Amino acid sequence: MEIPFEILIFKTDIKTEAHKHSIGLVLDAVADIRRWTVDCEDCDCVLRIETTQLISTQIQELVSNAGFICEELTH
Amino acid sequence: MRTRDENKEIQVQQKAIELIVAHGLEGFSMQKLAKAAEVSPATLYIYYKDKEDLITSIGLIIGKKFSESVLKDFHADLPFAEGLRIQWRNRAQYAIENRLESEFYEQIRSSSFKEKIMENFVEDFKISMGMFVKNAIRRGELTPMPIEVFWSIAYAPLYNLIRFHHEGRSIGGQPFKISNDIIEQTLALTIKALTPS
Repeated sequence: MEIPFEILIFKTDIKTEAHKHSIGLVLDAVADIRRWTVDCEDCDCVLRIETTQLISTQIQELVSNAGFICEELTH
Repeated sequence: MRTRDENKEIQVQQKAIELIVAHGLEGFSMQKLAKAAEVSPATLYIYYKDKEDLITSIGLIIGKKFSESVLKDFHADLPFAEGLRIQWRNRAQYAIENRLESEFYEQIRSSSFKEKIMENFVEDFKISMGMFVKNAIRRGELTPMPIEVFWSIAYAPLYNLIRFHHEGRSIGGQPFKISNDIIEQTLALTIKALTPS
């Protein structure tokens, strides 16, 4: 059975492949992140995180520490 | 907990199809879709990771529906005239009942999404169509010819009638509505053209 996960959505400034690569080094190292993607084509450079454990502020902290803007987008 | 809402997802897909048919793939963006579907961009990203993911998902749903509709009551062993009649009926029904979807599908077919979408369901469809033609040639019911020639004669006339129907007018602006009689008359000529004399 698949472990339930939550989807968190953020507005970022992860605009290029190089940015994506550098944030990837951070996010890939976190075991509780099941899957992540960034839509660099979108004006909000939306970061989408599937996580089993983490909450929004923890992601924001990880991404900000890596030098990017990261604001949660709400519905 | 954020969960997927199926109704909302269908609503978003419908809006995406409308936007893409009206303005093309180039002018389409997640932000425009969010606005048109009256949802927040964040909601779209719950369902899809980006624009490509969204277009591919919709393409797969439509492709599957198209292929199931066209293959309904059809099998590759049918006599040629009967099989082609079923194909015409199914294709006309699908295109008329699902005009937007079929226009969306046409756009995808000529885009870079083609391979990603087609490879997933088109194999059975292609095999069935290919066998149908082979069997008909083997039984002497169909003249052998290149596939492009076959398609241009076997199906293009029907799609042209459908185009006239959707536009509501034909040559010279005459009002036009497709009917069974018109389809049967065109089909009879098509079969005549394809059958060895």
